[in-house]
Amino acid sequence: MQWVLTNAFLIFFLGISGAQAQTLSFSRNARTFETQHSSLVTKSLAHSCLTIIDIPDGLPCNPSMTALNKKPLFGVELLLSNGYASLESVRKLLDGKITQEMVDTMFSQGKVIQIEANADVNFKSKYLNAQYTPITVKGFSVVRNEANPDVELYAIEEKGFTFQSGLEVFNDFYAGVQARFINRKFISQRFKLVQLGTQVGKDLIKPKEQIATYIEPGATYFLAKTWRPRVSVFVANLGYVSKQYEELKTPVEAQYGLGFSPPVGWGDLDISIEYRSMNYEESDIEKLRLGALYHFGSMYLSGGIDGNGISGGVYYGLDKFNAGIVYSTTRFVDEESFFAQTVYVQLGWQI
Amino acid sequence: MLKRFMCNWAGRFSLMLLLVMAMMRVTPAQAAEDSRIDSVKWEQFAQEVETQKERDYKNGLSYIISGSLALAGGIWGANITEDNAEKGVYTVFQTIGIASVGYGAYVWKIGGEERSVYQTLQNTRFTNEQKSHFLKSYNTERKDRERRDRLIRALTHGLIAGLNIYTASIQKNDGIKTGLYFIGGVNLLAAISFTFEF
Repeated sequence: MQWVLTNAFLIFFLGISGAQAQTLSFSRNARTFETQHSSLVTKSLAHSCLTIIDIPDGLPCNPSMTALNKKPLFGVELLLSNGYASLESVRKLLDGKITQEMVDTMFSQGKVIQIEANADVNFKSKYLNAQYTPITVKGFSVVRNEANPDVELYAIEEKGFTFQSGLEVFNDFYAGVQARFINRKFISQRFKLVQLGTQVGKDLIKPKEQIATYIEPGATYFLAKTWRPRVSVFVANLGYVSKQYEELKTPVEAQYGLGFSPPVGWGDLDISIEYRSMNYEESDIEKLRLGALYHFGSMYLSGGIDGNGISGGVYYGLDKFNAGIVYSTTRFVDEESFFAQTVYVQLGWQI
Repeated sequence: MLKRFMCNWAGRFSLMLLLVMAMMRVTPAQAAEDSRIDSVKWEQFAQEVETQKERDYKNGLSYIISGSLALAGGIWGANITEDNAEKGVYTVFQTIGIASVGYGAYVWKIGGEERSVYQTLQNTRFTNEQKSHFLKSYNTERKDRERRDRLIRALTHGLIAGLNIYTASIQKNDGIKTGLYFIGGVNLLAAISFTFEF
């Protein structure tokens, strides 16, 4: 078992370093993706969470884990990333309220804006999980080229419901299904700043809308061994969208995960290696993700690595209140170094 | 015509009643659990409580250590960060940390009700048979209390569901309406899960 793991880790890290050598078209926040809605702990795990049984601050990534919920939970979670000062500007942009003052604030030379804010109402039980997301906003913009400023921009606002159910079909074989209903409003454009001076230019950043319904099945099989090894499969984005947009792709994808829970003297440790996309522009090697979650008392320590960067954080939950913080790296264009500059914070209350 | 209509309704009502009775009747698993609880012996109970005490010690200590880390990390983090949101979270860490230490100490030193019952019986001069009789009576009482507790919870969640669904139905703001329907729906599910022990 240890030999297999060592080799898997080696292959994984060699692959990641290969992925890092590639350049991106713009700087990228390692844990915020246009169409991915995730909790703080999931972000910290580098979204390598398909085989993780207990996600303390949200629904399990794989609906087949529903039957393994230990106790019912009903609570609210609020997540915010740094750059939250721009939240109002991004929302105005998505409402189509473009003013010169806002343009000056958002697109000043060299400015990089990255923001994510989520609000979730979660319900978890042994038979059904549900999540109501009244709002989730993600925004990113970067301005380059002093002579004739170029803007790369995306902003997305989603609201909707997620329902999950699952059961143990055979001994140690769990299956489940997730239904997601989403209303999206988004802007995804690259344009010259001077274009915003004209009506045609303003039309470029007019928000587009989409309604999506996804029915996503998942399964997990546990092997009866000491490390509790398990394999997970999940079919993402299987469903219907009201209107297809070239700039916002959500193709159907089969995702795979391999998880272990090595016994530790105190607490519980889960490790997961997965193959899944976050933005559907990733190469095969970039789809590999590694995450680890350690639960000890009221503390959940988590960390993750993938082609986009490294993340780590801590989450504390006790009875009614919970709070967490995650730091993640951000990669810049033509620079191979990482910058630990994105911070996510989350506060939650449970009834 | 009216008679036939009434008969149909009566038939449907009986069917519903039968269904509800079937759902509320004691399931085989429940019966097995009841019989296990009824036949619990003092020696077995003592063994279970001793194991539980060991688990409580480890669990309690985990909460104390993790709580201390939350407190220390919270103080350190709040001092080094400039960001208000981060400062806020680190401050919450401190509160959770202290609460966690307190909870850990409670789990370690006090624990669940069974530990108290065990200690009380341990201090008496009852014979093992008398202790077993007491445990049987205690377990019956506990089951009754749990049943009443479930009923009260089901009613509470049912009322919350009704209130939220009603408020949602008369609400004009779409966002609030959806949110209230969700809270209503979730409470309805909770009420159902407390009514019918799955």
